[in-house]
Amino acid sequence: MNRFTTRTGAAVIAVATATSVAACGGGSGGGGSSSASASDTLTVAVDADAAPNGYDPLLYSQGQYTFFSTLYDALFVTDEDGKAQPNLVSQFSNSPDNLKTTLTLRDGVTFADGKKLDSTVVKANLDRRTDPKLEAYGQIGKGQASEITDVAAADPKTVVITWKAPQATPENNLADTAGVIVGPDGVANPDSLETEPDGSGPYTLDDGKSTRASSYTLDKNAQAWHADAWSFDHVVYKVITDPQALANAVISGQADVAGILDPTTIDQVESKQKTVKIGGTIVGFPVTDKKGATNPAFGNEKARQALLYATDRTSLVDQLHQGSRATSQLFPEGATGFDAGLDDEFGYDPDKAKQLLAEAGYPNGFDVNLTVLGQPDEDAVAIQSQWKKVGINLKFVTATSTDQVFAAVNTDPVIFGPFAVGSNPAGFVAGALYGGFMNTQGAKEPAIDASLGAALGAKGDAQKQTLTDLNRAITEHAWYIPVYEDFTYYGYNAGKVAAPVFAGTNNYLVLSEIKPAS
Amino acid sequence: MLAYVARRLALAVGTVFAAVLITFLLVHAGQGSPGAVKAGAGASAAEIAQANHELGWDRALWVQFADTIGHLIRLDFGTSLIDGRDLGHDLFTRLPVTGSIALLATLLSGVVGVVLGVTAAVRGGRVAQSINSGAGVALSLPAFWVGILFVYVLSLQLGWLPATGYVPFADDPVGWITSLLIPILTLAVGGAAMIARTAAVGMREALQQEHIRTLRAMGTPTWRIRYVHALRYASVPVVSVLGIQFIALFGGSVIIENLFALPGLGQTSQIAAAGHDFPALISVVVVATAVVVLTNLLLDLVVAALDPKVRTA
Repeated sequence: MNRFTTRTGAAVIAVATATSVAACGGGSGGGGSSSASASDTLTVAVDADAAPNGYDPLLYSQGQYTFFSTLYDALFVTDEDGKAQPNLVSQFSNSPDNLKTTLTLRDGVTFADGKKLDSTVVKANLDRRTDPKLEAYGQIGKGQASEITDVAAADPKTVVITWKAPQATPENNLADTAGVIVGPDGVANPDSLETEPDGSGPYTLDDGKSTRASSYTLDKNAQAWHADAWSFDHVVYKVITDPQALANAVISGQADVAGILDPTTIDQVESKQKTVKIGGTIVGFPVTDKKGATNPAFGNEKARQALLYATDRTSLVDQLHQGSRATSQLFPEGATGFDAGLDDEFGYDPDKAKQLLAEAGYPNGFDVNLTVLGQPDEDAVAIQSQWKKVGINLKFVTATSTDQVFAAVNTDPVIFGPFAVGSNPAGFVAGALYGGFMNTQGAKEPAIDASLGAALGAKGDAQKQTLTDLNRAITEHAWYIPVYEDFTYYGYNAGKVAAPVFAGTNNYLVLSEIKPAS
Repeated sequence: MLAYVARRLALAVGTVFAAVLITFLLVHAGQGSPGAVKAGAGASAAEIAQANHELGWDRALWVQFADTIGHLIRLDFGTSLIDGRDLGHDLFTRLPVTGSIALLATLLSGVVGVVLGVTAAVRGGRVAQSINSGAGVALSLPAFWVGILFVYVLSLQLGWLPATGYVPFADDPVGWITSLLIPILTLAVGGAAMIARTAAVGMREALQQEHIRTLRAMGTPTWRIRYVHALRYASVPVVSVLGIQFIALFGGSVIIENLFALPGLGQTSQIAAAGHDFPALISVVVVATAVVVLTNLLLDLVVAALDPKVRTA
């Protein structure tokens, strides 16, 4: 009996020891611990995985550039004023008709695969624009508003880009993720980027200290051409999806910068740390079915307009989102082309909504399906009751998988959520609303077409007017049913870092501008 | 005993196989596909089909299943369909996180619960009532709420412990245990309450057994009667509950891992399920099932060691 007990005890100890040893072995557990001193390390906590599909930066939208700017360089980068500044490009010029852009490349840029930047690498990158999986190229791909028709490597340092339509500000089309240049090996074998980045950025990925979907540790590459411009020797990117845990991370000082903060945690964060905020996120309903394919009512412009007038944004903001701004237009308040008059003109008017429904042939309203993952959020529920008053029945379809949510742009007449329109709304329209995933039908609207083309082909005051026209066209033709402009908050530890800055009115940070507190 | 262990191990292999089969069928029976996730929002049916073809998702079911089993037999967990990461390496880094939390929380629950339960049974009266009431309250508290409370007090107000994250043991042993303390305490609150009640009931029952009365009559010291003979009798249900608790904590770690941003198995299984990342999901299921089966086996052996009736049954 005693012998048996001893053996059992040994077994228990063995299992406990094995687990402890395993714990010891988990050296890459991704906790963000580093042998470097804390002051050398910038810890950024984010609310969603920075690289859920691997390290090909072109798979992601512009907002992901904050993370990818550590590993990759772009031809142009958006600065804190919202301007696209040359990065891998030393200088650039446009032809008089704005149909050709000539880029001169920077010297001394080396990729992780050991190869040098030259015009053939840039061409090889931009020639991937036909790949529909590459979200970053939503604006410059075939059939898009800023379509590139040809990329030529004129000489090793010179690239000539030919546009289908005039592009007065071509740098905007090639900024951040859209202008990222992947190394030659990565371009030749994009599958390799699933696990191994190949960029010329100021940091390299420490794979041994990184755990997918949890934590990414980046070590400065002292050989990088711009290494000195970045303040920290190490950057640890932590993924914290729970809103309260994200707030706790910055409050407790475990994260130096954390965002996007959930609105319910902002007061708590501000009680111990500081925050920065930016507008530019328009919460609303992009109309994904303008042809009436999934819902005949949406093929009728008046029926779509009825949604604009049936939405009581002011009440919703007062009751649920104090501090946000009720809006009837897609363009943020800080963006060129914003028109305050549109908010009055297309404000809440249920009688007008009913009149439009009657004129559209739907006097009793119609049903609208909206796919939601889990439970619908409080905004959607509030809007459901508002629309019900004019007879529009918003029905929630519960998705059972992520791909069902993705597919909603093809199966539902609208989707709902916050969309970061940012400081370059023409780019958003070209890459998402008109030429991207919000218009998979390829619907056309001459007024939007004309004003978008004009906006992309103009600069200065002329561009301002065309952007105003574009904003009005989108609103009048009800391609987007806006609800409110939301603010994006990041918390930061003021004892460790200076206030982070956003990329203009875009809701993502310029990571290179995060400096130690003085 | 060896034959007994061999039979249980064979059963364990069958259990893992069944778990893989059920998971495989459930993933394929559900709506959607990994190609749709990989192709992204707004992808056309043709693009999704192409992505599925590249991932091998359009092969015959039995071919895919045979392929899966073949790889598992070679302990090759493969790579993620979504991001291409090595799943064996991923498990190697995540298993210690979930395992440490579940094991340490179970051990802490056991120690605290047994002390409280035995105290309640031995002292009786108001002490027993207090412990019983306290255990009732502790059992009714949701773990996530307890966790938020601990973080608020121990981390945000007092600054004693980190609020989130995990530090590998190899990097910093002190950091490792401090990073796990709040999650462990959070889970141990309910666990200790359950053990306290189980131990109290067991001890009361034990102290009324005939052999205990005989020991008293023989003049055996009270401490020996309580803490050796009676406790041994009461430990059988306690060990069973501890085993179940470990399994529950190991399998249900996703909430705690999200709350404390811990890179464990729960987190990866959630991502895998949402993305139809079948190899990733299977790898987690295999590991989790193996841990459950081994825990059950260990539990049976411990109970058999403690209770002669079980051995002879």
